[in-house]
Amino acid sequence: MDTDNIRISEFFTIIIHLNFIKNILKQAYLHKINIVTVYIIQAITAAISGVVLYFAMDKSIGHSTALDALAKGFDRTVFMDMLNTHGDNFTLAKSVIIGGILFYFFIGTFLHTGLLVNISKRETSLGLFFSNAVKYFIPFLGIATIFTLIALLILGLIIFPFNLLVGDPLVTFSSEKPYVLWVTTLIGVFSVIMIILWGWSISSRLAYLSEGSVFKAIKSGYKTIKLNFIKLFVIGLSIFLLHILFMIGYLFTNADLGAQTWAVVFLGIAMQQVFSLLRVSMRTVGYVGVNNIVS
Amino acid sequence: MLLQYDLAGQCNSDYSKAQSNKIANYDIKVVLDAENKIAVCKQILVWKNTSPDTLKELRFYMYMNAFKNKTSTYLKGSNTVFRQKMDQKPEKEWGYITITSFKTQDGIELSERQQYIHPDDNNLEDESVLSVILEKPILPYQQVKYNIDFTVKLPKTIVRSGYGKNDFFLFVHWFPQIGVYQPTQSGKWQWNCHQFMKGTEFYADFGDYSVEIDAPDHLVIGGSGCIIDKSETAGRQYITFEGHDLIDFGWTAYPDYDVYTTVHNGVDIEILMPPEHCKFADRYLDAVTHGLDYMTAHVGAYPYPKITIVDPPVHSLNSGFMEYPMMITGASFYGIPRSVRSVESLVIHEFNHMYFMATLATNEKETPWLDEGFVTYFEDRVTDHFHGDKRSLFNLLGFRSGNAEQTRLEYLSLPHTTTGPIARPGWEVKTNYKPLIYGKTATMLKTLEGIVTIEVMDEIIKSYFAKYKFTHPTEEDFRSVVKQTLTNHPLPNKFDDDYFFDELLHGTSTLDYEVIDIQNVRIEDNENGAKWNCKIELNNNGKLVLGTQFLTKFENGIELPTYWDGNGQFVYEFTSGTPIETVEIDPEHKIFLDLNFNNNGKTYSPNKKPLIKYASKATNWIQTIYELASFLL
Repeated sequence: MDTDNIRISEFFTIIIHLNFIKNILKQAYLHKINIVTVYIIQAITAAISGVVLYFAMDKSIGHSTALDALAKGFDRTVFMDMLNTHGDNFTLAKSVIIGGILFYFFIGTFLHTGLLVNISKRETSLGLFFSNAVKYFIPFLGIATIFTLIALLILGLIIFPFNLLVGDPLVTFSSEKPYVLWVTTLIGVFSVIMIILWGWSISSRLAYLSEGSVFKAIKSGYKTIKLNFIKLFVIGLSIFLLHILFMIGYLFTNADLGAQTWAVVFLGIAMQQVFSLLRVSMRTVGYVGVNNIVS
Repeated sequence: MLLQYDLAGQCNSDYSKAQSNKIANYDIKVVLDAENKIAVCKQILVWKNTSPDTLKELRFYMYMNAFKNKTSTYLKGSNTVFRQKMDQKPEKEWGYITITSFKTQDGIELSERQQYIHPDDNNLEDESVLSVILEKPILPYQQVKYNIDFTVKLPKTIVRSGYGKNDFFLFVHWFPQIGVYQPTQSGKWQWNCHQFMKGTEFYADFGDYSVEIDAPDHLVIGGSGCIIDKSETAGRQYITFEGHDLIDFGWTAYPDYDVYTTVHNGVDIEILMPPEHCKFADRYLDAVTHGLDYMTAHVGAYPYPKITIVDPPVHSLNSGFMEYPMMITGASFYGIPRSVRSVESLVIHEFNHMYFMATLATNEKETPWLDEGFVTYFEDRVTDHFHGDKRSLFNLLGFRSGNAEQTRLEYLSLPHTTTGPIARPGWEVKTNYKPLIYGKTATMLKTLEGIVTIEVMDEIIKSYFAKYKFTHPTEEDFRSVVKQTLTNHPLPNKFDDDYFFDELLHGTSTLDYEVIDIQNVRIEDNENGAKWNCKIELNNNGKLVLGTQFLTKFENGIELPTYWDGNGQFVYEFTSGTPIETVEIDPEHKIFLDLNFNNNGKTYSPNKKPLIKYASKATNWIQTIYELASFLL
């Protein structure tokens, strides 16, 4: 066996992969205006709930010296006393949050439609972003709904037989360790399936642009994922792991951040929003990657 | 250092063996049939009649019969207990205890003279209390000896006592235990031997126990007391436990226990846990040593030579969360992170029962608050002392809570208007048992600590423990110690301890201080500076009246503490050269019973930064949810 030749070929494979990643990042960067637009609309939608929450808290404890305790860091007593005594003040906030999530199912589909079509057509204009979003919203919403239903169906197919087989875990297992490992494994399996569905969903939407039919697009998307399974999976997995990494990073850096000064408060907000922008950016990178494979 | 042994360490030989009046002493020989979950036992009971009465009857707890069928007082009306459906329970999963022979020292058989009685609810189906009519009366102050043969069949664990998978056994409430013959408040002596009812556990006299267990040799055995002898023959093992000055004896057997032992300040510590929980061994050890050190310093010396901590396998988790003299059962679950200290908190709670229950043997049936409330109060103190008062229970990714904080929140969860008083028998508390008996009592004690100072509180508890250890103290005993200690340490402000205990133990009134309003009106402005007419309006929204301080902070930085009797509405007007900035009632939260701390303080210049911070944090969490929810969009 010629080990030197193998090493050279490995080296070139890495270079090719690095170039592939570099190209994806470069192309994704071209869509910066679109990325920021998605981020801003997402942030504004979420901020409506945030503002309602702010006023609910202000109405409840806005003139209380308990705020000084809260400034030092998370204080369960302050929050629980507030909810115990002023729970009614948060009724509107709860409705706004739930309504916001439902609303985002539509607005999110709209935004990602604009983003994905622009990436596919290698356009960066904001005008085209919105006009493409309007043009393809309904079929893309159909595809998104179908994949959401598939995801729920798979979740059910995992949970129900597992529950049926296991029954009461305290009775079935002699130790909880295998149960915990089983649950962890199933979460892992479901995550893997979700990553595959994610690749399939994007491939299908990209395919729709040429196919013009939702079901044909899903079929075509399936063929794409079958042919490029490894590449699509690696992209999806990388995006998924980066999401988790950023989430953990955010939680750790924010854990002990108080609110003693405005500088600290704004530092916290800045960190939160940088993580949010990064999440949208990562998703765009994923779209570009899938698009490059499909095309 | 934590060592793993297959045999528990022996007890400290310096340990004093004569601490109680040793009324009820047991010598029990047990032969365990592991396959059929049956123990055939021979018991010698040596009992002292400490009364001036001539007794013609003895009464015994036969608590395993509570799990004989669903018509027992304990299970009556319960279709599901800990997720087990009582209607679907096969015959082999029920338990029972039966006396096959009851002989006097002279060899007279009394088993024909036994009958089940039902002093509490007249439930004729209940067999948890046995009366034995004596052939020859017991004279005043006479000591008697009986030979009792009995068979006990364990149920599949319903609550604590029972068997589980793979030959797991927990033997508690497993032998015919004599009730307590004691004087009532009127001075008349009578049996205190209640049926087994929900919300009740222990009440028995102190004595010495010798328990010899003959069991299959694959089982690892632990229990109350110390192992003084161990031997083996083909397939069987023989272990003898000895325990002094105990009110009960429990033991456990399981083939898969790993045993960890160490010695801390002269006390043998033994941990029995299934291998999948091995990562908790150090955590259990830390918790119990923290308990030992703190309780020794703040209550009194640990009165036993050993403590055994049993961590039941999760399939028998219903055996956990409990205390027996010199033995406690914890509960853990594979994967609980170190920053979530529910495991430690529970171990400390159960360990504290060695003081409040095992040593101060209050009547846990009639006055459960006297042990559970005190134990919870000290659980909070121990955990908060070692792990910080706002993070001792959990501290995970920025979310944190203290143990005392959790206890107060449990108290706050009570529907105060409909919840009855603390001081009543356990069986009468049908709902909200934990928030009332544990939470409210502990919060009351923490409030008392806030009023009298922690140093005086320690003196109260130490005096109470020193005076009443190895006896059956009552509410009156504790209150008399409080009164006496406060006589020695008069408080700067008026405090009526009788009112405090009457309202909190026997009443349902609550307390909620509120700063209603603060006003600054500029009334003069000349070359000497401005003058302000200041007004403070306070209110106690509850009916429980406890005095406290409120702190007025002025814009120029001056702080003025003022005492307020806490009674109803209070309006305070004065002229000042500087306006008020904030007013805060009880700024140190000494009155821990306050239903809402947030309205205790009002400020003219509110700090809005935390509101912005948490609103933005919530916004970010919502953004995260959007991102996750739209994953496939």
